[in-house]
Amino acid sequence: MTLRQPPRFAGRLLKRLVPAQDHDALLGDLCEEYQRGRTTAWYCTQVLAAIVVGSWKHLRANPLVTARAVITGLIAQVFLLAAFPVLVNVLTGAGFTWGGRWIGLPWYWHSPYASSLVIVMQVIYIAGDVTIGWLIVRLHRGHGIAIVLVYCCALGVLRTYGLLQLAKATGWQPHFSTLLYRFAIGQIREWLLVIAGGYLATRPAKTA
Amino acid sequence: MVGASSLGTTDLTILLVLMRLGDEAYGVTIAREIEETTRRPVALASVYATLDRLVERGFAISQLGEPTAERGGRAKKFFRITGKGVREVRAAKQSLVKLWKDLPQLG
Repeated sequence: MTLRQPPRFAGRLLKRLVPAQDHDALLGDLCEEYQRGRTTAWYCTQVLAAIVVGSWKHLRANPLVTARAVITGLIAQVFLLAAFPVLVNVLTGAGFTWGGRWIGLPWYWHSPYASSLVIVMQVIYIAGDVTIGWLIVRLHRGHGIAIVLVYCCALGVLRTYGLLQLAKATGWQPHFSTLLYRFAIGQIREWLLVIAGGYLATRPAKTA
Repeated sequence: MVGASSLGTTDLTILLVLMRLGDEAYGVTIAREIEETTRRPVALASVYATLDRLVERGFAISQLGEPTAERGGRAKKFFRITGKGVREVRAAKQSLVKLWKDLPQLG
């Protein structure tokens, strides 16, 4: 009898994203069912469910680690925001202040300055978000990707709260619908970058 | 929570399935039995999450079997209900029966 090979990446992903638990029995059961004619889609759905269930279980069992991870992410976010104008000025070559004097840099992108600014800002945003995700997982190795997801949720809640406060303070303005759309797109992009950074910091599974 | 017992519905269902399956209870057979009884698809991960909780609370024990090629060289993890588990199921049943008695329209 020829044995069918279940998708290896799914097992590897489960072990990589939820490393604190032993998944051998579960993966063995999934493999057994796969041999009996279950589809690849069924197998992947079961692994996805295992990632969600395993992550949730792990977070509930480690509330302090989860809180620490969220705080780590928020502190890193504050540092990024504080360093942002300095980074932009240095990377575009505009310069920086030293001892009360403005010091220009030789790599100033003279023409057109606006496009260099946009490129540099995007690079800082992308690198910053990926670094935050990487840092959270790197400082909490063994806890998988779930803590990054909690940080993403916390960030989403804080940002939404800020937006609601703005709407409350200024009243509903016609441009708010555009702002809301841009906010949603920006938030999703940020989540994906933070998750990507977190994924980079997870250790590859040795066996699937 | 079911009456005086500390078991949730899923916990109780899985303990009953463990009693029905006896020595043949492992992830696949447990999930299949639940699917056949409830006619709803079950995620194996949820079954294992509940089983782990029952083992932690001392209502069930687990034991590894032999690895097989069909399972990609991985061993089966067999589960068995403990005496404490049986007592908990009995308590849950008594609580439910009492509730049933007060509702004659359910028969």
